[in-house]
Amino acid sequence: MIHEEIEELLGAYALHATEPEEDGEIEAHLAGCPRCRAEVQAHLEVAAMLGGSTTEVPAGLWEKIAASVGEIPPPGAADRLSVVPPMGTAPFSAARGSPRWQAAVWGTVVAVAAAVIAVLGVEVSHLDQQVRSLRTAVGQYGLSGAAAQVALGPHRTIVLTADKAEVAKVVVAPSGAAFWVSSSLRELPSSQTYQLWGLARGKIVSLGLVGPDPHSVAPFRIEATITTVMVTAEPSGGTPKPTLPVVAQGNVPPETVD
Amino acid sequence: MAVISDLSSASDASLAMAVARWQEEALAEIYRRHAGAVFGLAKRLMFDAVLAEEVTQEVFVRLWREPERFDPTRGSLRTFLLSVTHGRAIDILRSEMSRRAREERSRAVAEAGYDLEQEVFDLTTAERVRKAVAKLPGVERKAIELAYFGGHSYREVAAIENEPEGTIKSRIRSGLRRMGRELDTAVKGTDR
Repeated sequence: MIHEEIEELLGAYALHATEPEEDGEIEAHLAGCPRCRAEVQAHLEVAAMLGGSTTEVPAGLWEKIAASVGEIPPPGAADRLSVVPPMGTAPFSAARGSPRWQAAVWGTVVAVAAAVIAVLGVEVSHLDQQVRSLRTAVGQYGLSGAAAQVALGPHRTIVLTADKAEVAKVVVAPSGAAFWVSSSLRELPSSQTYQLWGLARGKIVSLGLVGPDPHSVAPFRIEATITTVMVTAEPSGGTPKPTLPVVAQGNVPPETVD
Repeated sequence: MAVISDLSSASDASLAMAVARWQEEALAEIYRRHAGAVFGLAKRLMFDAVLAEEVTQEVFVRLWREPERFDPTRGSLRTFLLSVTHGRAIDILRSEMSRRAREERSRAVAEAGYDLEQEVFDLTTAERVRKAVAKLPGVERKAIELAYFGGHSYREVAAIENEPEGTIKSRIRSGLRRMGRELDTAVKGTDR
């Protein structure tokens, strides 16, 4: 179908009134045509106003939904997020009963202290010294967990720059566990947060929130597909897509150093 | 570090992002805000509370599984949820009812006084939508009505109305654009 033929179908498409064999071609066109996407969205807004009257929901429906989402881990969950919410910076209170949240927190706790060691530049050559340094770092900074391998083992360091000046660092373990470990960025008001983004195959994905304090040690993950890390200042709670100018960015180095 | 503990004050976009972090409380808040509209649309389309309940459940479980499908830069969460609801309900209707059965249902509904104006209940937008619907030419209103609430494809609407398919496509599109202008949802630059 040519552009004009697709255009004529956009109203019907928004009302799910096109034929299945047409939908694929329409969707392929929409992927590359912002103007047609905008028109479909406008039609969807109208349809939502037509159909959006509120009705009292049946009792017990939420319990059924909650049971479904609790029992079935979302497929692809591991790669949809690429992020462990930083401790204390999650947009909402953590689901403390959730096994997957607990697992995430444990993974976080395990590595935070090592990142601190990296920040502090602690020199370690013996196991005993490592343990002492770790304990010192954990005790001194009041971190709620202990132990990790990132800064003590093979890792990469991403240097984030603004106007060619270094403003933050991120250390990345071979596993992808990563930590925002130091920054000279200004502290944000409590209504805002620094948010990290990764560029992977031309697509920008959220990596997680640092919070308003850039000196926080924030854990997250960097998948192997991510080539660039960016930072924006966003409203507290973060956003699904970056909405403000990038305040710093850096490339993920290919080489791991010991 | 700031922690937003008051879910009721969080934006829909923030809640969707929290769902992407597997936070069930955020899904619960989205449900609290929008389940009434989702269930209401499903029930109106399906005329069956049990099926509508199943559709509602599917919509929220799908949001949990695939939160990335919602793009806040393209529209509101409510619009997204209602579009998913409509699509799923129509799929079920088309798979479970023959075209003739849907035509008969549409006729029965029409004879009972069914029309778009009576289908608009949302208190905050009802008056604006009523006015926008009232300004639609009758043929456009009928085409939208049969497609959106009747679950018919534009080809089926063309057969029901005994009009060329191209005419029905145009009526649906022009009717939606006309309403969009009235409701100020139209995207600038799409008018020719």
